[in-house]
Amino acid sequence: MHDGKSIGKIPDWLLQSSGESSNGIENRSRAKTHFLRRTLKNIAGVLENELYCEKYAAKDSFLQIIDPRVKLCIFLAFLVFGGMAGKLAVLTVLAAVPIVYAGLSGLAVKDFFRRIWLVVPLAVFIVSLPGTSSLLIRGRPLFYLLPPGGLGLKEGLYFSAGGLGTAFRLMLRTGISLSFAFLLFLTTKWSKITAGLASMHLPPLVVSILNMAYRYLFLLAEIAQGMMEARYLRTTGKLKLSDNRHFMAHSAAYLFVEGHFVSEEVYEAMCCRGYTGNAVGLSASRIGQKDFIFLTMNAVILFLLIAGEHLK
Amino acid sequence: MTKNHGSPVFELDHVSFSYPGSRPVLRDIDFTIRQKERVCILGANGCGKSTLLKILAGILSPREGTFHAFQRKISGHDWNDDRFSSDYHRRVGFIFQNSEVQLFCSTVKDEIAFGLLQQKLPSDTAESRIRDISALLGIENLLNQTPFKLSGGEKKKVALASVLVMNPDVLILDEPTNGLDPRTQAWLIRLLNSLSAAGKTLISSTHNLELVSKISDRGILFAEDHRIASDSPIADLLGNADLLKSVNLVDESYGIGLK
Repeated sequence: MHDGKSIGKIPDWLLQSSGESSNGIENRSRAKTHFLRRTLKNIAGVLENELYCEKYAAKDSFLQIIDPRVKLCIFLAFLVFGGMAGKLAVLTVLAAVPIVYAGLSGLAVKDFFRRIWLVVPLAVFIVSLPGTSSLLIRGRPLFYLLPPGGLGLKEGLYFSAGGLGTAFRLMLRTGISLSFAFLLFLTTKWSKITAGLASMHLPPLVVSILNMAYRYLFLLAEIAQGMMEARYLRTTGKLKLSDNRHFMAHSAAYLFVEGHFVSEEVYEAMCCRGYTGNAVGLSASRIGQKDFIFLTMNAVILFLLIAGEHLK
Repeated sequence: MTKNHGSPVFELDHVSFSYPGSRPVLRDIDFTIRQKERVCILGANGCGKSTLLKILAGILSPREGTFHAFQRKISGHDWNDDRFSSDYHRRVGFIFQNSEVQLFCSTVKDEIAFGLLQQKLPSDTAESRIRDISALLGIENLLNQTPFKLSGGEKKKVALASVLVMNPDVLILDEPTNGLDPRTQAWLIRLLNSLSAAGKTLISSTHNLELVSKISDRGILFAEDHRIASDSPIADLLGNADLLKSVNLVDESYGIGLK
């Protein structure tokens, strides 16, 4: 029994040098640890993304100097309009607005375009293609995939202008929504976004929860990263799929328990500083001349887009 | 107990505490802490130091015994009174061992402002206090940063700022030097001594015996059975190697160099 004073006999194998087993090294290189590396990379990506956002939000450029409340209202108006607009030309012009704003705000436009348009909107477009073919949407054929009579299809398989238009509309709407949301996060610090939401009369409790969720997302990401690294460093053999599943399930459970403990302590820390259920925040900055100019400019753009939508 | 100490801040009379479904972590605790005292709670891991600090900070309530704070008997029901709770927490500041849990706002400035705004202080007063405290702790350049990106020492400074800004009468510190580099530790000791000289009551808990004599005059030593083994001037306590060994706070090598 360990009495805390004496150390038991160290096993012989522990006193021997493990040496340089070439076998071990070979095994290591063959080990299927892709999922651990991938998970680590993804967690690192979450943390990196935050640094990326903070870097741009700290600039003193076009959108960064605008009051978050004004940005929130304008972007929301653009999003609502984008959801209702039907003309491809109007949607295309609307899609160009955030790209221009990104350029004016000192963001890397190519990177912005790649992150937004080459992932989700493109996937939406591809996934929606079968549904927009002549199988569901008929019309004047634009081009044929199968000529009439091919594979027993009397009219063949083709895309009509209407069908392709629908696919493009879906893609543009998705891309527009993402662009404005991404632009808001890239040009505004999270604290200012939540301060803006608070000043727009979002309940203080919701704002506090948003702030804490954002803060603890990164704390939990760090804990998860530590767990994955520890596992990765001890993984020298092949990992079975079932082991991976078990490990992921245990990790999720551990994070859940850890999150629970952390939340309890955070709450205690809040109580220790006088929190009694009503969170109060520092007031947001005042709306100034530059915000009015930006508001007017965007109102004009929105008016022109609405007019374009109603042109015959 | 020692010179120039004022009225009682905390009085514990036969206090015991246990978490639901587990063995007692505090047994029959008796002591009084007076204004301006510098007290250190010492003991081995798991002896109940952190639980005791949480009772003093108003996070936990004793299961048995009586607890007086600022000469008022405190019961579990008192914490349902928002006004009492808010006033108590303004007077008693608690620095957690893990600064991470104490930093929950999205910027350092919001973090420091949190307690002030709970007190309903006007924004301009809050702004002015934030400026003063960040200058005192040398963290002016961190105000717009997100707390999770700071180093361990910076996080500790922000945690301290967020409590000191409320101007508490009593400062409770759980393992204050944990994870701090030697320079930051020395800085913290100087700060605590300045606060003590300004009349604050300091209560800390630590394993760091080198630190103890620098930040406290009195030591309350816990035994492994969760009872108080000694309550005496810190110099006497640190000089009693046999007592420290018996409560598992030091090993056989302790004090060899001193003899």
